[in-house]
Amino acid sequence: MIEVNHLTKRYDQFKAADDVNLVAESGKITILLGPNGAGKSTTIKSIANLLKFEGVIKICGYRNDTIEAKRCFGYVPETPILYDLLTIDEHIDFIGHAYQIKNYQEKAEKYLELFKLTEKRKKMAKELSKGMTQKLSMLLAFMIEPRALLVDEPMVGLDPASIEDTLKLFRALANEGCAILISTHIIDIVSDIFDEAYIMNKGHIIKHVRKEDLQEESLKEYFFELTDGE
Amino acid sequence: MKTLLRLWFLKSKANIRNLFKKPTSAIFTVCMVLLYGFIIISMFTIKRSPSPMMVTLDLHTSILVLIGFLALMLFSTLMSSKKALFYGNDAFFLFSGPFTRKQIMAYLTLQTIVQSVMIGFFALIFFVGMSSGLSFEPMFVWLLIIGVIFTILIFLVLSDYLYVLSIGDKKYNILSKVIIGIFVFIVMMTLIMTYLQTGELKTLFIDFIQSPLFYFVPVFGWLKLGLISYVTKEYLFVFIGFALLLLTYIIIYLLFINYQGDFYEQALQDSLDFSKRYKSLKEGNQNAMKDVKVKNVTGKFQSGAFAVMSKNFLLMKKTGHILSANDLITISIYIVLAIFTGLGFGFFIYMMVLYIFTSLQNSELATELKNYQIYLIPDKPIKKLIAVMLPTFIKVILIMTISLIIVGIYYQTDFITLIMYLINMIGYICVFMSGSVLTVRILKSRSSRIFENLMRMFIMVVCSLPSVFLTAFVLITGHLNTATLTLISYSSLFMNFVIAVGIIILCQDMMNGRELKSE
Repeated sequence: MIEVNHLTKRYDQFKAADDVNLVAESGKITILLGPNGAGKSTTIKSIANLLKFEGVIKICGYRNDTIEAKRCFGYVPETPILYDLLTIDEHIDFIGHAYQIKNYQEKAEKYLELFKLTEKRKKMAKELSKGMTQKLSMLLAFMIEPRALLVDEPMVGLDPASIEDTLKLFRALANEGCAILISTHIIDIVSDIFDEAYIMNKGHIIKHVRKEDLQEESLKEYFFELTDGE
Repeated sequence: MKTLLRLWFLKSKANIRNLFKKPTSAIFTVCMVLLYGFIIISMFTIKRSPSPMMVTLDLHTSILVLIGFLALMLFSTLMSSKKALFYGNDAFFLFSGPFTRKQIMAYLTLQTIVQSVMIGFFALIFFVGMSSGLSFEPMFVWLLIIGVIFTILIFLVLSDYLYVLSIGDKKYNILSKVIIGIFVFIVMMTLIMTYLQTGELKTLFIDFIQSPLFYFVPVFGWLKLGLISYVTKEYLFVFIGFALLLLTYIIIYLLFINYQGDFYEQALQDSLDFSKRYKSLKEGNQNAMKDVKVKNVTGKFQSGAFAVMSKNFLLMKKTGHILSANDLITISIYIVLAIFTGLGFGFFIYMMVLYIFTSLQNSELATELKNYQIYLIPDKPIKKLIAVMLPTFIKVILIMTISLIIVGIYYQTDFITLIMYLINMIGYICVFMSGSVLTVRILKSRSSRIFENLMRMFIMVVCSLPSVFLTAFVLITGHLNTATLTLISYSSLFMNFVIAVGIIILCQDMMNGRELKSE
């Protein structure tokens, strides 16, 4: 579970996130929606402990700056940050050892197959296409078997088939009990798989909605109503 | 052309605006402008002496050092495999926009002239540093500025011309190497001729520095001819020197702007690629401007934080950076200089400190300290910080030890003294590396190489304070002897380690990430 309590992030006088409260529950896919500049990435980076903030954030019951919290969450950033000269296999070895994951190779193997990266495993990151680097970035986050997963704009650079595979994978992970928090502004892609959504605008959470709360209305229509079509 | 001039003006304005956007950056810019301005103006004013300028060995040496600096810089531009006429954004708008070839060339010329003036002034700062003690007449300074700018212009336009030629036909790729080869050959011939004239091997360098034979080296020789002839009041040779520079520039420029081949497509592609690499370089990727040959090697990973160390060692093995050709060449030059100039072990140690300074500046330590992936690793911050620092630390110590052993054998230095030198060097490595850590910790994602260097210098000053106070105390109390001198020197060394360890302990939490990316 990811719990964000009274998160505020200031850049001088400007509040990029203002008293944000949200919970991404275990076994559910929670979406953080909002127009550009709403504060989604700031919230995600704060949860990943990459920004200094006011408030309390807990991951799997631990404060997000503890080793225990780091051990249980995976993070897929918007732009994959990989080592150009390391091969896919070497990235897997690195993360496997850094996170001290037992049988990490077996775990990685499953995702290599799924993302169709098996044949490319000896290729260096700089030789991979944009979509493949995104897949590798996801693989590295998935192989640590996270109990909480943070994903920032996950579908950028992926082809339609990979998007479908990734969505199925998110669902499978959630079914295994993982709390998944996805930040995106592309509503169409996530409208089918989400369980809960938090809608952000101008640094605030303006609405928390469960899938079952939406009657005839689509998430997209609901979103535009709340954000005045932004 | 009006549109392009406006573009240039807007870009310059935007650059200046960007420099003054943040108070720290604005203060730094003002300080740098004042410092550079002061140095240049001081050439005209402070050093003016009532007596006329004289041709001395110092003047010859200063001019030759300036020429050597220019040659290194310009030859490396000429040899660079990553060339481009413009930055990516300029190339995109120029090549795809409604501009004639003539307009594009004129814009490029304007850009090259500005670039030459900037590099020229930078080179002059170097000259001022080398020529302390000499006084210059204002006319000499003007000639120096004009000569240096023309020399740079010649090579920059030549580089552009060879680049467009090689786009048309790959066989012209070799021309850069041939031209540099010719220069090296002529300089070698000058050296040999000087030796044949004097028959003295010991004073060969001094004879070479003063020899008029150097004037036959194209461009660089002509620059020296013009400058030295001004001091000796041989104005015909001043004219010949500068006329040759001007004529060479005109010929190369005419060849370039009259080139008829089609180079737009490749030039656009190269410009975009160059901009991408340059951005990566600015972000700290030291290999951004070259295609690094990657060796097919494997490595074993340690567990936890030390997986970072294993990863960095693996990357070093892949790129051959554990003991690179560059390191070996640099150290060899220092060893040769120390031995053949007779400047001795002390000079070598001084050069080693400079080497540590520059090699740490070129290491990827700072980039690695800013890598978010390391912050996410579930391990103790202090272990992560040590794991990030260790590869660079070990690499520099390895090179240092090899060099000290070689020079130690030559000077027959005893083992204990060598160990003491090594401990001293390790002290400097600790100080410089902790400087990088502290800069990243304080300036976070905005840290840069310049700030890192300033921080290192500041820490060095702090480390030397105890020895300064001790020296003052000893001098005042009159206890100056070998024992107190040794104590003074050890106190500085001790402080190096204490401060470095203190910084590392105080900064360890930055490896958790939030302390770094906070602004």
